Amino acid sequence: MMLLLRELKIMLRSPAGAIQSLMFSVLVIALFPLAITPDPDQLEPLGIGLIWVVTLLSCLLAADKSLAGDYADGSLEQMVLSDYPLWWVCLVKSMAHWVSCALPLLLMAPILGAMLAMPLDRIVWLMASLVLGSPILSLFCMLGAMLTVGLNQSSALLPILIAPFLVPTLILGTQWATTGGEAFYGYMLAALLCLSLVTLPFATAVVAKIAVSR
Amino acid sequence: MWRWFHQWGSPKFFYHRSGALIPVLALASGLILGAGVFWGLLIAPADYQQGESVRIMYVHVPAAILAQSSYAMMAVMALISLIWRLKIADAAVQTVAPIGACITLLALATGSLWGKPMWGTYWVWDARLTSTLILFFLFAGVLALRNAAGQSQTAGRAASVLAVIGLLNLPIIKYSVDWWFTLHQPASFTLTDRPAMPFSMWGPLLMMVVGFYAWFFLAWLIRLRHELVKREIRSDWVQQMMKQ
Repeated sequence: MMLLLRELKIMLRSPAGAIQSLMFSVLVIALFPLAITPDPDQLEPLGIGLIWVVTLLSCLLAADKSLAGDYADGSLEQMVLSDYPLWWVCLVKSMAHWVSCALPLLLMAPILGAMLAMPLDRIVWLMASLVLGSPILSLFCMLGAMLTVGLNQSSALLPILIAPFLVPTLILGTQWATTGGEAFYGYMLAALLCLSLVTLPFATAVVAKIAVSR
Repeated sequence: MWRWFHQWGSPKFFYHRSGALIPVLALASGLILGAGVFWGLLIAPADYQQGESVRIMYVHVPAAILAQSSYAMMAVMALISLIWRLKIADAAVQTVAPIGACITLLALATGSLWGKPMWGTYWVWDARLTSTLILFFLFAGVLALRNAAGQSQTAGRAASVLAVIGLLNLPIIKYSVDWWFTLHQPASFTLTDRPAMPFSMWGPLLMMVVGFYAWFFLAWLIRLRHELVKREIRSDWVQQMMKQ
């Protein structure tokens, strides 16, 4: 619990990172009508997919920063050495990534949806799919951050490593939202969330040990 | 069993013993591939629907099969290197990744060349094409991590973890792409529901598959032996070999 509080305090005292990733998402969404068409009839069917892709990208982009500080000042090493179970540390890091990156986007989703001329019921399904799907993104992003922390080109490398793993989440999430809550996709997305939640923190813990011995 | 395992796990033993395999594999892959190409491209009949373009199959199908199984082999090697810390398994992961990536690229390229006369387009977002593309990205990820992290042992372990997680995710990716595809597009064409092939077609196909595997193991073995010498350059057995 103390660990989670620490992460949240760090975030609250320097909210620039979270604000930046949110600004990035809003800006990218604003670029699409400019690049494609301002016509609401053509934008509306793209909305769910675009917001999902932007969420995925902003999670990937923010991931390497979420560990870089801890790695540079040695706190990551201390966390690995500490009494806390390492998987718990990794899970907390993932939660912090989610709170700083996915949660603001989730709260902004109605506004982003309105920018893309989405009707309210589709926005609701979009938010539901993000609630289930974005934690999976954060868990995988933390794995990628741990794999690349301390490497030279980590910010470019991380999306290459992790993006293929996010394909199922992207497919299930967008399908669930566009079909208006087709139960099959919802169940599968929930199953994927459960599976990621019980496996990825442990995988990240294995990688964390490798990362600090680098 | 364990004794065998330890012996072959030693780079020195492996290097000296595996040398004898190279001519065997080279001969086998040369003969089988040559005969398969001759049989498939010149003798086998043209398909009554697809015409001569069906001959792309004799390269495409072996490449696609090999692409998937080379990822599986890489991941198994990665698991072995993570569990038993065998140096040779780590070298095997490193050397098979570029071969696998090239084979996957070959499968994608031949597939899209085949797609042009068959489906009228070089690329469709078909479930198989998409999952093969993702497979290529998985290979690319392992390679990229390896390149960025350098030659150290920890770099190898990180790449191995990535490869193993990729293998566990492969079925999830494959099924999710299938579900996505079935919803998006009607199955206007399927590769699976073809009428059963006559022997004159699956004969050369099987031959090409076997030839591809023989060539794959040959390329892997040559790269692996080279990598072992590079890694063990300071050890006695390499120094002795260099003097001779």
